Amino acid sequence: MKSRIILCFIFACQLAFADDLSELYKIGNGQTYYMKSQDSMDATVSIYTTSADKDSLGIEYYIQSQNSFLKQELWQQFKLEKGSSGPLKLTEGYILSDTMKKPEKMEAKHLKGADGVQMTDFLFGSFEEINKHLINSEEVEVPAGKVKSNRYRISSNGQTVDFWISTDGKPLTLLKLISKGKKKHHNYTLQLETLVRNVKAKINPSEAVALSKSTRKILETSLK
Amino acid sequence: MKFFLAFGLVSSLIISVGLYASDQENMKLQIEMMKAKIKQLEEEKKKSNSSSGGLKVKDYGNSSMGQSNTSSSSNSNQQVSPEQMKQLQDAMKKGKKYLEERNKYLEELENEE
Repeated sequence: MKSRIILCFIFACQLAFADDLSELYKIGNGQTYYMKSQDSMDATVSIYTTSADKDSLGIEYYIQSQNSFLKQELWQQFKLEKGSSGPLKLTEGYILSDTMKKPEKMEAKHLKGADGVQMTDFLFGSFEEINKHLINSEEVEVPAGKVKSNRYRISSNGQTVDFWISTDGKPLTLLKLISKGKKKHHNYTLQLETLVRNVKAKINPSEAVALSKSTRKILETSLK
Repeated sequence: MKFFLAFGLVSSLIISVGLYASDQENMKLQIEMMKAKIKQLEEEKKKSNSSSGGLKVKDYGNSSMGQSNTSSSSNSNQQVSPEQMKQLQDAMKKGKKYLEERNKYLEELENEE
């Protein structure tokens, strides 16, 4: 659950470069990453578009973590909208796990960021602002392939994040990310395993019910 | 008695030939099913190996990620068409019928002796 902010970060990197969302993001397309984390099991994280028009975007995360004893699955879906001044805001959020019968709708307070590098750093940043953090251009090799990329570094509240974004084609894709910090959940790495196509959304917002006590507790603990 | 023994032998041979034909039919169907499975796996591999800007691409064919996706992909029966399934069932019925007839003849022969 602590990875929620981390996951928002992944997509936010791309959103920061988006002008017209419907032109850039095709429904069902996205990426799958392998995540190694210091405070939890390794996980496979997929992010794909569930809806797109000029001013709003729907995205869904599928997170699968597994060790020799346990397999956990989690889906999260978010709606992002452009405000009058242009920045994107998280307006809706839904959560579904392999133990839940129906998806649950997240409350507004759970859509806000936590400490460290936040998604707002990217969502509300312009292309020029992001480019202030450019370190260099280099070729990076990840499980998905070897491609040209721009390397960036952002630091905030004791967390430093280095990330590599492809420079070939659109939408721009996060290839690799290394986060380091004082807190355990600040320390993780991500690598692109594959691009994904034609993924159907797992969560249907119209079926969502109110947040249960147990899910609320988990979400609030993860944001502390 | 000799006549009955000869008749039994001939009948058994006919039944054996019938079973052999039935086995051949089953084998052909199994080969067809395996061919279809190989073709499907090749297509999946082709999809997973396709690339976009030098990066690997995996096509999910409009299925969702997670539980339902895993369960549907692990069900190999979906690769057999209804026609193939019917042919397989018919062949099995024929085989069973031949087997029953053969046993019946053998029983009759034993009783005569």
